[in-house]
Amino acid sequence: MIALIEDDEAVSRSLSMLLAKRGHQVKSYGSAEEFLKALAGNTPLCVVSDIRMPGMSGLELHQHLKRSNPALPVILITGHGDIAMAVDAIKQGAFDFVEKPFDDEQLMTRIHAAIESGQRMRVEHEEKTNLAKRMAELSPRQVEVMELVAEGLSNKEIALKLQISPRTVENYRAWVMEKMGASNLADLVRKVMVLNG
Amino acid sequence: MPNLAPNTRTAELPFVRLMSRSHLAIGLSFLALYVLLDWVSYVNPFGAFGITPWNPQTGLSFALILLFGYRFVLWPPVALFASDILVRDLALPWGAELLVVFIVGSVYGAAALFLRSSRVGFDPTLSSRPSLLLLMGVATPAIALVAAGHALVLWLYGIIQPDSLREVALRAFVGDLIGVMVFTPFLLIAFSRRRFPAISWEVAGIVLLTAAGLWVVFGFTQAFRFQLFYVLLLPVIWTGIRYGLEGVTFGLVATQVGLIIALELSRQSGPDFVIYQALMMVIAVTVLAIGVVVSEQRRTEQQLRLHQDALYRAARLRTMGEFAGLVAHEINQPLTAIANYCRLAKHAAEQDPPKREEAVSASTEAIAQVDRASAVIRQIREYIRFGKTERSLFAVVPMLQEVVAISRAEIDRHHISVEVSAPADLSPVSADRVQIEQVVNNLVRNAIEALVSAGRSDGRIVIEAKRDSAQTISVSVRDNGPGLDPDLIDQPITAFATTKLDGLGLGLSLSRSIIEAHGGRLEIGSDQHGTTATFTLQVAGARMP
Repeated sequence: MIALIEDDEAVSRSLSMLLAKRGHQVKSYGSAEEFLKALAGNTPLCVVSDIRMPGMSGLELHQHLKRSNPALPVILITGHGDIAMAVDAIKQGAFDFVEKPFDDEQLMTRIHAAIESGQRMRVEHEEKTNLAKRMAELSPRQVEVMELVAEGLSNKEIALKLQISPRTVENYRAWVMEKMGASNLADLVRKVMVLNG
Repeated sequence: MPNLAPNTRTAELPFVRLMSRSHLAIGLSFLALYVLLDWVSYVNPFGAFGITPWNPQTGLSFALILLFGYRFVLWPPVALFASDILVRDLALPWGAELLVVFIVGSVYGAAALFLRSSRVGFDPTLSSRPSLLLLMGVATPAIALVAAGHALVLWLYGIIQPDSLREVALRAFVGDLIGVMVFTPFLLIAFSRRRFPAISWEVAGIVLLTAAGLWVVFGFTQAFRFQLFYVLLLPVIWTGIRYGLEGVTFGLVATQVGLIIALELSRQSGPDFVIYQALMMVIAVTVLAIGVVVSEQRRTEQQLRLHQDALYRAARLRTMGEFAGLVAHEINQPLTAIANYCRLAKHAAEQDPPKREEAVSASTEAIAQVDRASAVIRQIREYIRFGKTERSLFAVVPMLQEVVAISRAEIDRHHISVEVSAPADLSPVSADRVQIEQVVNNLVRNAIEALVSAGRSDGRIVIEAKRDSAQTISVSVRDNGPGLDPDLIDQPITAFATTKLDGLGLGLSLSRSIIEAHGGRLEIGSDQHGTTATFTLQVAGARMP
């Protein structure tokens, strides 16, 4: 589903009809506030929002979503004169912007790209949340061991560094592998990278 | 940002650049002019060997090297030699002649080359006070040296007696110095600038005053000639104050020539002749200084105006930019919807079988959006029409002059003449002065752009205000540009219709809205002789519509 946020009724109606013709499910909102109210439990694949709107602007909406739904791609639509603003928004992490009046092919391509990227981001985001949950069950010492293992240190080196016996390190290590759901050392290194990234 | 730097030295020497292509042509022209000047000024010589009381040809030699450089340094001595043969029948013995030629050539050549060296910073267009001081400061000792050398050579060859040594040196000194003071600045200015004061009643008056001065000094009475001599200062000072350095150099040459004619006609004796020339020298130095100061002040004023002009335009562009952004947003909304509906209609029509109803309904929506877009444009014009106007009483002519002053720098740059004409008893008008200024400014700028784009060198703008009827005053801005495209005149003035590449075409449309808001009319007429824009304003006390 694509969320379309546009205060101008004619633009909103014509665009949602056009998107529907291309086989997308579209839900349109007259303002950013209205959209945010309906957002909980009903996350769209992609947000297409006008910049100039009464009340919360498109840029403010993007700032808000960056915190609450970081994996949700936002495409901003801009009228003439807002381009500097839109470029700024891209630097802040908005997915893309299109200028009014836009070419529909171009808009479709960008929407598709945004949806794809959103899905990728969502998978990464889910994995990260999952891993963070798993890591919360480890003791501080075990976390330390995990990070040093991911850095490529041997058990002996870790024991020396943390002033504990190599045997304890071995025990911790097995425990970490199991808790984090890592099948081998390479998998664990990747997971630590996801967590830190 | 427009380029604010005044184009000084590079653009100001077109003649010189053009002429420096042909060395021989310049040299031969110089030679001919030198001999001619020497022949013309060969009056009242001292003895048979010809030291004359004024030597314009020396001024010519200085100007040659100052303008064209060291490659011409050999021409002045050659010219001197040629002139001595042609004009004086080679009055001196060969040895003396060659020595004089050598002294004159080397000393004057060295002095002029010294001035030209980049270290000295002498500006051959004489644009600043230091340049004039440098010219005088370097030329005077060089001339003194040559005069002394000349007299010594004559004495060595036994041509003059030791007791006349000083008198001969003084004559040579005064004659050459007056030639350089009067002629070199004139030639430098004539060759480096394009514009001299145009012939006008004022110039005629100055010439008349100079002639009257000469008559007062020489024709009126014999008794007070020296005391009355400074009367001749008046017309040249007048010229200096009104026309700057360009005028002064011209005036000095005219005065000097007039003086020589008057001296010849009244048959002055040799020593008196020298005294008159010395007095003339004082006049020359005084008014040259005045001329340089006046020219410098003018240039400063012009730069200031250029700066103000740029600021004003920057401010105007900023509001225009904001306004354009607003308009674009308002127009882009319906435009976006129109594009979408048209695509939907196309899509529906392309189906097999065509979905007629969908196509019709999408087209209907698109048409509604077109109406909306034109309503937006109408609203913008209404907004301007009924925007806050603050009427006040003001006189039209000072307002017109102020607006012209805003564009003065640009007008001068393109050598356009602007005339504001109005009857003296024109009533004040009641209007929003700032808005009317905008309209006039817009019309003047349009006229300037039309003249500049046509590349006319005789561009002329006439702004005329006159009583149109009992209630109204009309103001017209007329240019002698190429006129408008006939297709464009028949159209009503609309926003975005423009012949200018960089304009939004809003200017004329806004101007018309402003004038209509004041209850007047703005009309554009055009033929092959130019374009005239005329608008009307209500006179004070007239009932407002």
